[in-house]
Order: sequence, then C-alpha cells, then structure tokens
Amino acid sequence: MDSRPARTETYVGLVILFTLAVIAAGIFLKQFHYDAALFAPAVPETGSAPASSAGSSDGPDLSDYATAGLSPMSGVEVFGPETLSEKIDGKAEMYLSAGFKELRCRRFGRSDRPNEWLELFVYDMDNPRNAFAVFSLQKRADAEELSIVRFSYRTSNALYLVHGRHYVEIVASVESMAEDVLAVGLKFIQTMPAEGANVGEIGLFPPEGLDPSSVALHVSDVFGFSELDNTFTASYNVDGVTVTAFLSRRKSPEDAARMAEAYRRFLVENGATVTDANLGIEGARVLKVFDTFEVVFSKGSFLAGVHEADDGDVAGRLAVRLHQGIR
Amino acid sequence: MKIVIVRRISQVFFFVVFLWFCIVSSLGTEWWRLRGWPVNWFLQLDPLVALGTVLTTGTLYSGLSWALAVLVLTVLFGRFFCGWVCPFGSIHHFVGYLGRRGKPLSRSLELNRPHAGQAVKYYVLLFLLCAASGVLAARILRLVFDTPPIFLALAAVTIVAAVLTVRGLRSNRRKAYGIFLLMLGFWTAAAFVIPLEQVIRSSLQSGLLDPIPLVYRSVNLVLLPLLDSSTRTLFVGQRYYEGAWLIGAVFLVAVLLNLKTPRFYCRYVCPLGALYGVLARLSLWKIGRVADECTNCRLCEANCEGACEPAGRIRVPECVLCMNCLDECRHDVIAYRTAPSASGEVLVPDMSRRGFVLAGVSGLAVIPLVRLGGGMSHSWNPEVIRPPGALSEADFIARCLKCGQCMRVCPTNVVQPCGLQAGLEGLWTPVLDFRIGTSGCQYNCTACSHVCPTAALRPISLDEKLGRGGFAGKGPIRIGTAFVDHGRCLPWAMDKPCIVCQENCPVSPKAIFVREHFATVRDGVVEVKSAEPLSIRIGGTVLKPGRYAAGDHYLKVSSEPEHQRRRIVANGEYTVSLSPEHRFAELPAAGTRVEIQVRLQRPQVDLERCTGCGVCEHECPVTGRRAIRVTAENESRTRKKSLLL
Repeated sequence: MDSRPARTETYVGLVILFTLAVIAAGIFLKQFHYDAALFAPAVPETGSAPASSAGSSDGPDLSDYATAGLSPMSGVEVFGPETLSEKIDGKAEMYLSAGFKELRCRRFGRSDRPNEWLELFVYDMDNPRNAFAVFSLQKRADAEELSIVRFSYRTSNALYLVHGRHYVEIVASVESMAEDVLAVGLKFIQTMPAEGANVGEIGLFPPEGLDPSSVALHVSDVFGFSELDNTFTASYNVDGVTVTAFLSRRKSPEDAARMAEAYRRFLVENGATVTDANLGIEGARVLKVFDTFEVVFSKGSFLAGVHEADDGDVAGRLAVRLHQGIR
Repeated sequence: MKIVIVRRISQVFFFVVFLWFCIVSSLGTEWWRLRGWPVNWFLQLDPLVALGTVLTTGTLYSGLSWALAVLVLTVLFGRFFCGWVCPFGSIHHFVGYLGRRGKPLSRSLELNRPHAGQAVKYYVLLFLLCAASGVLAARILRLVFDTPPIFLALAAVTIVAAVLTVRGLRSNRRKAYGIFLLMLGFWTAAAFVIPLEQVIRSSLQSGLLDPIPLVYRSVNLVLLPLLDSSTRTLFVGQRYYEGAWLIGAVFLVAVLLNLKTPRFYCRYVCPLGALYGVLARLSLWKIGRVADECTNCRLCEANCEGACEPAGRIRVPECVLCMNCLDECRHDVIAYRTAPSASGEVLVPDMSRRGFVLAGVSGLAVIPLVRLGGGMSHSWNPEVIRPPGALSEADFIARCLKCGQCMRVCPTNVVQPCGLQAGLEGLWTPVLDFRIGTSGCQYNCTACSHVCPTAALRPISLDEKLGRGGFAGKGPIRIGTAFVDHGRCLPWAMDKPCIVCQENCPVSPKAIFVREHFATVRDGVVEVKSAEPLSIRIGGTVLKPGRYAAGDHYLKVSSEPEHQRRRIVANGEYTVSLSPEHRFAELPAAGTRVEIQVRLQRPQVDLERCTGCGVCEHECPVTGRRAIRVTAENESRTRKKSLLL
C-alpha cells in the first residue's frame, strides 16, 4: 500500500468507511436480539404454573381475555397471600393489608414478534372497595384517566382498572402495543360480571379545587396511626397551595368522636401542639405538627380533617368546606 | 479522501458507539435501554482482557473471541486499535491536540521526541501478565516435573545455557536467551523442590490500567452520574458510587497529562498499547521512509501521536498509526507499506534486562505477598458481599476486570466499587452496599450477571437465583445473611415497636419473622385505685396522656394468668382505658398491682430463607449504622462460609 497515489488513499478510506457502516448496521441489528426474560420477571414454561404458587388451581386461565392476534406465551400463574411477594417484590404488603385473596397473571404475545408481549394481572381483592384501595394507592405519575369503567387510567404501555372485586393491570413490553392493552382491558370488562364499588365517601369531598385523580383509600395504618383505617384522602389546590383532606366513615357518631380524639392524642404524643384557632366547627381542633397544620373533627359518623397543610389558614378554610359537604 | 480524515471519522464513530453503549446500559425494553445492544463489545475486543483471563483461568470465555480478530488485524496492520478505535485513546488524542495547539514547531517536536519512559508501559504489561500467570506457570512447571523426559531435556538445555551464559556470549540476543533459560531452569528446580502451585497465586489486575475497562469505569461511574445529576434523563435519582473520587481522579489525571505531553497515557502507561506494541513488530504493513530523499524537515514528527520518530529509525512498537506523518510529509517520503523503512526500524521495545526481570518477578511475587494477609482464607472480610452469580472469591478475582458494567446496570445502585475492603486485589471490584442504593438487591433481577463480560459474575437465570424449577433442590442463591443487631434494633434494644424489616422482606415465605414479647414500660408498675369494666384509675405514677393509646400497649394485672393482657386504647394522667373486647369481667381490687406493657415484635432471621438481598438493611429506620445488616456469612458461592449443615 503506497501513500502517494491519492486514489489509493481514497479507496482505502472508502473501504474503511464502508466497514464502519457495516459495524454500525451490525450493532443496530444486534440490539433487536435479546432475551426479554432478562429485563422483566421470567416467563415460565408454557402451560406450567410455578411450583411455589399457593393460589387456587381452580379458576380461569385468563385465555378468554386474549384478543385477536394474541396467544398465550406462558401458563397462568397463580399466587396466594403466602407467595404474592414472589411476583410483586416490595409491594406485597400493601396488597395483603388491603384484603388480597389471589393473583392470576399470564403473558400474551404474537408468535412472529417474541419481544412484543403483554402481561395481564388480575388481583382478586375480595371486594370492590379493597380493589379501589390498591388501585388508588399506586397511581402512576403519567396517568391518563379513562372512562371505560369508573376507575381506570392508562400510561404509555399499560392499563389499570377496578372491575368489581378485581384490580386489573395490563402491562405491555412496548408502547406500540397500547391498543392491544386497551382491547384486552375492554374484553375483561365485557366478559367478567362485576358489581360496582361502594365508595360513596368520594362524593362527599367538595368539588372545588379537588384533583379527582388524587382520591385514594387507605385501608390501614393511616398517617402512621395504627387505629385509623378505612380513610379516603384527596388533594386540593387552594389558592395555589396543595392540601390533603381526609374522610373516614366510622361505625357510629360516638365511634367517630372517639377516633377523632384518639387521633388528636396520637398527634400530640408525636410532638403536635393544639392551637387555639377556632374554625366554628364543633369539636374541631387545629394542631401544629412541627411546620405543618392538621385539622381533626367529627361530624355524624364521619371522622374528617386536613392533613399536613403548610398553611394553617388554608387548612382551616378547606376544613370548613369539608365539614359543610358532609351530610 | 485523506486517510487522516478517515481516521478522525473512525475515532469519532467508535467514541460515539462507546458512549452509546454506556448510555444504554440500563434495564428496560425501550430501544435506548440495554436490550440487545452489545455494550461489552469494546471489552470483548480487548486482547489484554482475553489474555489476562486465559492466564488466570486457563480458558477463553466465548465472548472474548473478538479479541482474536483484533490480534490478527494488529499483526497485519500494526497498532490500529490505539489510533483508530480506542475510545480512551481518542480522548487523549483530542485533549493532546488542544494542548499542542498554538505551540511552535520546535516545542511540538520536543514533545514528540521518543523518551526512555515509554518503556514503562512494557514493564507494566509484564507485571500485570506475570501477576495473572502465576498459577498457570506453576501448573506447567509441575507438568514438566511430572514428565521425566521433558524434565531431563529441559535440565540439560538449561545447564548448557547456563554454562554458555557464564562464559560470556557476544550476541545480546543469545545472552538474553541464556538468561531466559536460566530463569526457566531456576523455576523448574524450584518446582522440583517445592510445590509451587501451593505458593504461587494469580490475580487479574490488568483492569486497573487497561484503558478499556478504565474508560468504561470512568464514564459509567463518574462522568454519567455527574452529567445526569441535573437533567435526570438517564437515572431516576442521583447515582452514587463509593470512591468515585479516586476513579475520577485517575481518569482526570490521565486526561489532563495530555496537555503536558500528547498521549501521555498511551505512551508511558497503557499496558494494552504495550501488548499491541509487542505484536506490532510482526505487522505486515508499517509506517516508514520510502527513500533517502528526506530533507529532515521533521514536520512528520510535529504531530506524531506515538512519539515513534518516523523520520529516523522508526520505533514500530510505538507507532499508533495516526497517519499524521503521511499527511504532513510534503516530499512523499513517508509511506504505509510492507517494505521496511529505508531509514531503519526499531522492532523491539526499549527494555532493560534488569527491568524485565524486576517487573516479571515482582508480578509473580506480588499476589502471593498480598494473599499473606489472609483475606482470601481465614481472615475474609464479611463486609465483602458479592453480587448474585459471583464465582468463589479466588475465581472471581481471577476474572473480574473492574470495568463497572455490573455497577452501571444495577437498577437499585447497590452494586458499588470496592475500596480496600477486599484487599488490594479487590480494588474497584463489585460489592454490595445496601445503604447507598435505592433498595436492596432486587428479588427479580439478574442483570449484573448477564452484563459481566468475563463471567466473574456467571450468567444466572431467575429460577436459579430464586431456587425455583430445576433449582428447587439447591435452594436460592444466597449472597449473605442478615443479622439483627440487638444493641441497635428498636424492639430489641429500646422497647420500641418496629417491624419495618419484616414488612419489607421480599422473600416468600418471609425470611424475617417476628417473635412477640411483652415488656413492662419504664415506671410502668402501678397500683389500682379504682376500676370500671373499661378503665382503671391508678395512683402514684403520673402518666403522659395519650402515650399508651397507639395500640401497642397492654395492661397486665398481676393477679391474672400470665398470658392474659388487656389492650389499652387511651390513657390520661391517672386513667387507663381498655378496648371493649378486653373489659374486666371481675374488677381488680384497689391496691392490685398492674403493669403497663408494650407489645414488641422482635425480628428474627430464618437462616434457611434469607438470601442476603439487603432490602431489610436498606429499609431499617436506624439510618446510620443499621440495626439489621447483611454480611457475607452463609453465601452460596463458598461452602466454608455456610452456616447450614
């Protein structure tokens, strides 16, 4: 190879550039070939359920919910309370405390596109209220509300909904399967009979300033207080400030009053001080918890209030509106 | 098209590809995530990685066969990798160019004059290879010793060589051979006297200075976390790496030295460049002078990246094929061709025999010396928790490149570069730190084992990690065991209710369980003044109102059976109220002693179930020195550490 003739130099250069292009193409093609199981929980062998599953083997295999073009990529997996954490690392406790009974899940995909699949998770939460609780407590940040059922939303690659006693998640491996995800969700809703969720408390939150998507049901250990359970929370925007209101239906007015007192004591025990603010609500107390304000009161069978507000005045005003809304 | 332009395009191309590989090294199925991107490709191209692991393990890991192609191309074309491919070399090239800009020709020529220090990299290479080859060498010597014909022949040759060497030979080369044979004879004799394989140890330390692992480590563990700290596009939260300052300092010093001397690292330090330099003497095509019409303008040396003196007797091992000399020569007397240079060539690295022997013997000796500390045996450090899939410690150290790929891909940031916890050999190898990450080692994740380029972390399936399916008989892979520190655990040491570790344990059934214990609170023994079915009034001690109303406190009446306790739902200064289901059927008499007790759920670790994932340690509310901590006891990879029969 002689450097003198520019032509030789050019030819060599072109050969090298072509080689680079081939390398680039090779790298690009290589990235399509991978084992999807390495990037998500492993797919069990077709037709098999994990040996560790402790759910009931009787029950639907979920294949009825596969839409056109989708076929099962795995057997149905069944998990009970003892084995749930095998499938949903880290969040199992939340489900268990909300009354979880059983999880059935299965992957579906297209045989010609092994890297494109979706997984259907059907959580049997025993009753619609429990299903709403787990639905509401883990809403994704990029949620887009849907109207296919009362409680449903989707993200770029997934659909989440409450249908009767079931909390359903459908998660796709790629965003391009969003339509398939929606279709499977709709098929589930149309095929599975369901009762509506008894969450009437939601209607008691005053609508002005309410962020509807923020309403959540906390089943137990609400705000760190072990006695407080079954409590709805909702975020409000009041004069540009975000505040949380809460509401809990108790067994009786006496129980509500007792719980309000117990919660106030709990706050005081943990460093809160009772202020002398008067909201004009019978029995209401405004407490200062370090730099935040907490309003607690009871009305009829409801315990209600405002939680960890940065501004005492805003907290008071929202508490008054909440008090007026409870009938 | 000028060849230097093509070379620049090639450098930019490979540098961008390298950066892309660093960017996509995170879990996910989006196109800009790990997927099938061959993120280890540069490591697989690295012959020093392949050679090092062959020496330490006696095997070539399949992924490293790419290095053979690079070796073949180097034998054909010379050190093309340094000048055209190496991403670290490209950084040096660019920074060196910035440092050289505006300098007068005389200064540039001075900077690019060959320097005796360029031999240092060959000593570094020899040191690293000898550190890696001890065990293999000992095995070969044992084989020689165990095969009498070979042993006798070798002994005879050694004696002859020794005699000839002592009598003095004029040829330097023969003298070198003589010394080599003498050394071989010495080691053979040593193997005859003592079983060397029990003394000599080997360790793969090339990753410390090999430019490819170094640049991967520096970019992934220092540059990307720094650059992403404000934009948060690559990582969800801030990534932290222990000792990142040292990794960053080595990188920064190596890069900034280019402002003083172009390609300082490549010329003086780089062991991979040294390996290519050794091979380059065999190369078919070389840079050289075509004729004697050279005017000695030395323009060709002004921008020479390798300081290889193309105008004079070109130092072939130093030439990085930057092609600047071809571009600069205005008389067309420099060429890249198969014929030798008209002005002569230096084909052998400028190494002294003393330096050669010193580097080799030091390399062989350093690992046995380091191992004398006992860190690989009885004095192993329980804080060194290796990721799942790690081989036994000696085999792990024999393969780990310290490239940081496992640390980069770990979704929870718990895989960290080791400091000196694992001894000198373990510097920058992966260990788990459950305090620094965003969680523990994730239950359903085996990413680090699949991204390791040398199988120091062997690829494991989720079934194997969790002990399911075909691995049910073996049980899950344990990377350590959690131990509860009774002196720091809130329910154990402070009588404070807490079950955070048990709640967060991801193992199913949980590896952490609780034992209920009732403890009488401080000043909690009081006398009943009066009683009603759902409350009592006490005398003496003043209680803090509401203190015992959280549901964890109970009233124990001394006259009642040991197991009978009544849950407290409220208290005033002198009153204690009970939950309705614990009402008194028979009211305690005035003067009856009662105890206020707290119900504690004290965590216990099930040795058979705990995998050492560290989620409990991460979540423990005692956030300084955790009250539950994982150490490497009972890890699966070493039977000696087992706590189970």
